[in-house]
Amino acid sequence: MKNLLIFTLVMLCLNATAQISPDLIRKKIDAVQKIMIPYCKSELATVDTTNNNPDVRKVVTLSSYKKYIDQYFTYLAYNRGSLPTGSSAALELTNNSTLLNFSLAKKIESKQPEGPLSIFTGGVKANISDGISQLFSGNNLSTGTTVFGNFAFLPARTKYRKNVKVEVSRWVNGEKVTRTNPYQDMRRDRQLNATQFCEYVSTEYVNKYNALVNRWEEVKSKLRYLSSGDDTVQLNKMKDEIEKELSDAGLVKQPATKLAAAMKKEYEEKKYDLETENDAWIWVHFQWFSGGVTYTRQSYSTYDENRSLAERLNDENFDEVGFNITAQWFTQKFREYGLFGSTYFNIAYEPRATNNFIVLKNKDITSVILRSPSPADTVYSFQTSQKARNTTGKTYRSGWQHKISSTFTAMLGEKQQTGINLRGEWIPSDIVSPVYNAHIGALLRFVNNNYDPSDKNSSAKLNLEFFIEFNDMSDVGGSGKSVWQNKLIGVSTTVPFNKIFFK
Amino acid sequence: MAKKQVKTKKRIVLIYKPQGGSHKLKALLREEYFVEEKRPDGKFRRIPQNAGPYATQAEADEVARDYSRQHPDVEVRVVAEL
Repeated sequence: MKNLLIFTLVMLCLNATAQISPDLIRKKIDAVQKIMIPYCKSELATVDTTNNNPDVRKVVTLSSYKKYIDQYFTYLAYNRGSLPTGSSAALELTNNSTLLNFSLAKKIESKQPEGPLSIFTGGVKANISDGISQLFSGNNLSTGTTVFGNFAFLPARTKYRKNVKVEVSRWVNGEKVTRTNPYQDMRRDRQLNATQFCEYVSTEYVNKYNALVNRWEEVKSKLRYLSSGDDTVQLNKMKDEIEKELSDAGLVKQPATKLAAAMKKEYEEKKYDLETENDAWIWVHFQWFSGGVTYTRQSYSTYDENRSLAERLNDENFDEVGFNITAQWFTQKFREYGLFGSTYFNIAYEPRATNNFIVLKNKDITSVILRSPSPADTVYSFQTSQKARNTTGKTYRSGWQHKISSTFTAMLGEKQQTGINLRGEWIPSDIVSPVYNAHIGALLRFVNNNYDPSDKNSSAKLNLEFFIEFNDMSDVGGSGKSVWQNKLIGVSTTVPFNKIFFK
Repeated sequence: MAKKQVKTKKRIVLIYKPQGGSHKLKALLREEYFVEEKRPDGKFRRIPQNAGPYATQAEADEVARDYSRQHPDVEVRVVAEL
């Protein structure tokens, strides 16, 4: 019985249609107007082509500017290799294991308009075996597991200053060139857009929906007091259509504030497109900071031949804590490209707790055990191979390592199909000699022919980097090889190059 | 007996405090205009007087107009940096 009652109630709720209240709708229309008229007044003043008030942003209005900076910064912050990667989860296949890379991100913007913009990210990288990742073993993180926290920070000063350059007028022989002036065209279109929108809000919207409500009342009254010749089917159909139209406009269920917000949003989206997608823009430039903290439980094997046979090969653990802070600059040109169409530059400082064994190179250590039966007619050899760091004659020391690095990436010219990528690292520390690394890469962008074979003008691009890398040029790892012998020549398809320059 | 009210203190950890107030925002939000001329190499550079920034386009336009009058056949433009 009880179940039947609940079922009936649920069915009633599902079938229920909102009641139309003409007075309520009229009040709602008035309320929407009360919100929109001051907004329109302010908008019309802002986009007025004769507005000369220096305290009002006119080239790109404040709402569009904030949206643009927010989107661009988020894009930059999420896609750069050295930066937070956003809320995401990925499985990365490495040589002999699968790595889970999970991170959560939160964007924080001050309520004060003059505040900065920050993105915080935290996450974990852990090995997965048989679909399970054991994050902790006992009180410690499992070996190979990394916990990290990152931030990207756009200070208020750089958020509002010198990020965008726009040409607003051109002059020859004392005359203004009006034939082609994208900025002037944009101002005209923007003003027209605002005028049309405000006209609609103040007159058309009110007239249209008030007329609909009046019509609904009329039809309803006709249905109540039917006279001969009235087509009830037709009248009911008409009533349903009006109700649907009122409902679609949100006037039945949604509050006036929500309706006004939706109207503003629609208008501002169009204004945003007009202001940001025009040929007057010369470049966009960003300077920001990022940084973070990482903690990794490192494990490695050591080989020390001065020890007793049973202790020569040892498994060791080390809690590696690292910090990093990076200053970054990015410029993208939209015209007047010159040699570099887009450039990215950073300087980073990364202190890290480490020891002098971790920096040594892993080598294959082969143990051979000889066995001969008695009488000794045959000798059997048993071989095992293991990767380990040769620590023979070295004393264990731990301390801080400081990495100072810089990266410069540029895409060339207008087409930006080729580019260069340079990176240099200097890693001094108290425990080992300084380590020097260098990376020189050529970036090439190709059309991705796997994207859609039927589409010859595929917009999908595949970015490749052909690089030569000189790691550990002072041979701190003790490989015994020269800088040239230690070089690495390769091809890379990994980020940061596929998204950073937005192609 | 009335219950004794325990006052809780709100603890806020302030990581970053924007300096200044609305006056700073106003200063930040002002668009700045500069005047540039096209050099023979095709690149635009600020006019040698290095005039600017100007607070309004009208002011910058006036400087650009005068400069282009004094330098016939030289393209002069006004740019906004924001």
